[in-house]
Amino acid sequence: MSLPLLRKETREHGPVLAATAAIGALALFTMLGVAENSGGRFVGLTRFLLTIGPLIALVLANRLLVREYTGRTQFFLETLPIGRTRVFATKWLLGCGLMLLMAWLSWRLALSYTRRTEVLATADANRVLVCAAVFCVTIWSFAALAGMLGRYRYLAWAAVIAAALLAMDIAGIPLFDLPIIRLLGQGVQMATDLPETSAFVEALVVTVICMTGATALALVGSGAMASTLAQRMTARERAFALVALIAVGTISTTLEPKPVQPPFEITRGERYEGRWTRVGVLPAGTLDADSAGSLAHTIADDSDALIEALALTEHPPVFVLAQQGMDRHVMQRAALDASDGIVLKVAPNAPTENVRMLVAHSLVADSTLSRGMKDDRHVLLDGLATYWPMRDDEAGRERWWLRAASLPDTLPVDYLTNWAETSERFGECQSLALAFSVFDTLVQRSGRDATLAAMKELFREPKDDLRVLFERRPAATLATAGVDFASVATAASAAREQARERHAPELARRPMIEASVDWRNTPGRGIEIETTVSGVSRYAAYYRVLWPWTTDAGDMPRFDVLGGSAVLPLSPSRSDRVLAVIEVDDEVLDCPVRVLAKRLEFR
Amino acid sequence: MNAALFRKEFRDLLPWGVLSLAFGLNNVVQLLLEQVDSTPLGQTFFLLNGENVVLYWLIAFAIGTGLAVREHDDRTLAFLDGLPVSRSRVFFVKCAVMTLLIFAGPLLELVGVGVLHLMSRGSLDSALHAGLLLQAGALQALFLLNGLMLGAAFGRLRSLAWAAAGLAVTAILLFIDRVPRAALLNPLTLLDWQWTNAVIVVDGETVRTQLAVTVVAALLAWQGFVRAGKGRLSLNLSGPIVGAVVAVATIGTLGTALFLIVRPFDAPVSSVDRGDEGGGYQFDPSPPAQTVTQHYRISYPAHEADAALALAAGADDVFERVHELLGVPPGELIDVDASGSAPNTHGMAFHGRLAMELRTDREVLAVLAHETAHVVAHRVAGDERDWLWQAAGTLNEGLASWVETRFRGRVEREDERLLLLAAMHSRRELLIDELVDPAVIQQVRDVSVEYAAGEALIAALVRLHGDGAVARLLQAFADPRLPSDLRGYALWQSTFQLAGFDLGAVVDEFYRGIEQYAAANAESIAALPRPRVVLVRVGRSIGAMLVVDSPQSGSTEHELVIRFRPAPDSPLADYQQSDAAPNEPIWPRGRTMRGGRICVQPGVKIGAEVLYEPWTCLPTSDAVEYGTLLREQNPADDRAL
Repeated sequence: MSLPLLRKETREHGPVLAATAAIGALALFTMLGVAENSGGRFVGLTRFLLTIGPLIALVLANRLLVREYTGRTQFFLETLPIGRTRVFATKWLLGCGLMLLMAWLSWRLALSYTRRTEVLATADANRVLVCAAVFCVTIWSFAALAGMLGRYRYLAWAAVIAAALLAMDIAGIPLFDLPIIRLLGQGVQMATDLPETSAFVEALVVTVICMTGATALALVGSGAMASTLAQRMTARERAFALVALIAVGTISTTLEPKPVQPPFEITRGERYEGRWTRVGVLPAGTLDADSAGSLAHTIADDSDALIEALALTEHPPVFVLAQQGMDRHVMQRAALDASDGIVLKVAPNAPTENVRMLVAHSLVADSTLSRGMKDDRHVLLDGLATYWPMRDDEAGRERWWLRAASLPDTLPVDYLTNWAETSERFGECQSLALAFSVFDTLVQRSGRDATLAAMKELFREPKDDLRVLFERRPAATLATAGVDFASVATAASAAREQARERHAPELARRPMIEASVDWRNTPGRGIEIETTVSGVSRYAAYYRVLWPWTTDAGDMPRFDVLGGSAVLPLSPSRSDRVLAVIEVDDEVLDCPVRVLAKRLEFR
Repeated sequence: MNAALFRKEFRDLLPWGVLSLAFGLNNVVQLLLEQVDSTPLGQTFFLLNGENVVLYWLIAFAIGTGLAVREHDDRTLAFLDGLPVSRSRVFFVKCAVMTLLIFAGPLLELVGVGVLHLMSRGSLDSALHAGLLLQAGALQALFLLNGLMLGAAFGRLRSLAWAAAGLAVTAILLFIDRVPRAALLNPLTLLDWQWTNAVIVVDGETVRTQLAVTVVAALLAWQGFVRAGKGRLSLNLSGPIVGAVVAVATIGTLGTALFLIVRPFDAPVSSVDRGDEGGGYQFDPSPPAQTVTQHYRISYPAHEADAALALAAGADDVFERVHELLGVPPGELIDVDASGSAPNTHGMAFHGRLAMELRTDREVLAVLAHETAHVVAHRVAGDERDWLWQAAGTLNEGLASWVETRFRGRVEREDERLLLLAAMHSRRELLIDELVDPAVIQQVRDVSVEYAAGEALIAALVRLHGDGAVARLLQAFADPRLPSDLRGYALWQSTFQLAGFDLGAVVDEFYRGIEQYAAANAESIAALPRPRVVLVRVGRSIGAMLVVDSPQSGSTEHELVIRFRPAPDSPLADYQQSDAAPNEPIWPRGRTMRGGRICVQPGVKIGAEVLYEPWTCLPTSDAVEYGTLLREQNPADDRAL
């Protein structure tokens, strides 16, 4: 150490350091105040050290080390009767001392904050001081090394920050598990525990390496390296640095985070391993172990046959979880990663054919990366999925024909290719019946093998990017099989007409239901959306406020109405658009039937 | 001459334009890397007022800082003065070029998402809503112009520009924290859009304010450019020390502003009156005191020794029973800070220690049990590595509530909570997909659902798998094989699976219990009112009125409540709740309105619990004149007046 040099540094950097200290103090007070409601004790201190600490180290390194080289004032220092080593040591130790002073002052302030309300043992508090001091020394040693890198110093900081972010995002290492930052973990924040010894060893190693590096840069070759590095970056270097940062960012987005969660599995329940498909069914309520086993077997058979028929490359496991309290006709698919397979939640008394249908639908939808659900081909996916469990079940198919026969005989011209609109209009049960009628007609016209060949072509695994633009349109694919949507629609309509004649007695038993949805806006009651239904004693109303481009409204809130009319419990704005839906249970069709679906605008 | 000027400025500023364009292109290319015909506006419209637009604003601000001063500082202004054009014209040409260049990126994105929509649209979203896109473009343009002009105005401060900007941002954010209505001073509020079918609803007052700010900033910049080099010496802070001070101040202010914007360690901020703030007077704080039991070290204000010692007397029993309930051996001593808790809470647990209120109306040992359960769970679920347990908010709070219930003297609580859950379930509003995500629960419904539903889930787990199940589940959360960023349903599934349980079976049991209760109490559930909200106004005051539709409109069995919050993401401390009666308006404080919208939530009291309807944010322009309403309802009174 050299006292004259210390005095010189103080004179030169005093005002800046005072300004820095003032800003730091302000930040510390703010953080301690905020931390009172989120843990207290030393939470504010650790936040301060993590955020402002490195900034102060950066400022100190810039002032004490970088400026001497960029301003070439180190040449003057070299003319003084003190060695280069002593100059560097003085500056390094001064910076280190100032960082330690900052650590002590902030710790002292945090301690006095804590002791206003809590009795805290000095020994516990001192342990926090040790951690804070070690953290500050390590940060300083890195800042000094980065400072000696001259024009590349910010790159060094950027590299460390990028590495920390990558470690958290890609390797899944939590912030307070990162080296050095471990020194400020929860135990320290709460003054309950010191970090493991390895955390101190890591800090020591980093400090020694950084200190050695900085010393080498300052002294080797009479400081020539530091002098050279102090020059400004050339345009080429800037461009390279920018490109390097962008490249790191781009590459990092392509990396798979680790570790990955364990794949979905059930710990009990019935399992069946098919040729391609593994199925697990969790029994509950009325779905006992035998029924669950049988369902698992059936689903595996269905899936294997579908995989072979369409040559699907993905063979995900299938899990069916029975859940009591769910409506019989409601089925949900869990939002999990594709690797978890198909996980369905159904009521214990859900119709088996519906479960099998949803599995088939999910299989094809997943293998087409959801393109099977595009408007222009979704009818065929729904039709295939509904047809598949019924393919060898004449009675089951007739049940779906009965449902299809309940549909109005006149449908819009483009109802097959505007499938989202058709589905919203008719609801799940009847739109599936419609899709079934189309698909079964197709099978009857072209034969099962030819139809499946067309489906195989239609539901091939697509590209997952811009190249989807080059795929063949569904209409063109069907044309190669000798069919077109218009003729299929006509044939299906005729088939439904025949089904109407076949099932006239059952259809006659259905009640005549009329439904309407009206709205009015009165000053005292706001916008009231009133649903009215005649012909049944109870019905369910569903509703949702829509965005301008909403397609599928998804699961909607339900309002059960006893009686003929009710106002929906919704408070929409005048500029909102609301989808209101009315459904009733149809005993003849054995499913809920959508009586009305209307998108309301209040302007 | 205009064209020549335009070309010169264009050449000068082209790098900024390239930056903006490259950024826009980057965002569009990201969309092209997916199935381009499956990217309708329903999936991309949020990009039009997202974070990327804020980045453009920053670029606009940065480019703007040179608008009024760069020619002067580079000594090229004299050359421009020699040309046969006025400085004003030069200034406006600069503005035009900068605006065009900076708008290149957003325009590219706007066109990109529009084209992708045309390629992707289906039968239900076939409309492009070009009017909405045009409005979005206009609002973006205003937003960027605002950034450009503010940058130009602040740029007059030269090296102090960014420090002053940081200071201004900090001041505005702190002001907004106190007075949410002042959010109209924040340019980012221009991006607070409410999408409707016909228009993008933006607070008119905010648009007018920001327009005024932009015009004033433009005038300041224009004046600075026109008078550059003519009057006073320009602000020139040079020299090493001043430079360093400016640099430190810039870092400090920008850092503070960033801290306030991002709030990385977000904590609830009090908005309710506390004893030491509300009365305008203050007592000296009591010195801390401490008492140590076998299992707790309790710090408390010395003047509350009686209450603290009463707590201490029963504390060890609580400790042992909680450990017994959770099926874990008694652990280390717990530090208790009994000097108080955060606003709207009776207690809080942090990383193995707890804070609580001594002067509480609730049963204090039950609070201690609740918080102790949190601490014990924290220790078993990974101690310092319990982030996964913290992320499973419903289970975390549910477990503590489940323990707390066993210490409560009030037996009706369980019944009330079950009725609440059963009512939600019968409305199809008790969704496991929401329960797994605490943020969604708080945003759509209420944090209390976490407690009630979580308690029922833990009860279902214990019913199904016995007393040791809780400990096994907690241990699974500490399993190092789990990714630390696992969240939502995947987190629940993985931890239950590792513990050897089927989440599906537990959820089934959870719903079975609720379904049974719902079936047995169908009439009570059907009798619960479904209040709606109507906004009313008197002058500039906006209030909300609850409306109950028949057949429950006459029911007086259940009291109604109404809550307000400034924004959908407001912290709990900013909520304002009142009891309400049908057709009687409640007038919230101005703090609860932001961006021309008022977020309101009606609720129905079920004993000590409240069954809330989902939150709804309505534009204040929907409010009807309350005076007119009264006159219509009571025309006789009006005539008498």
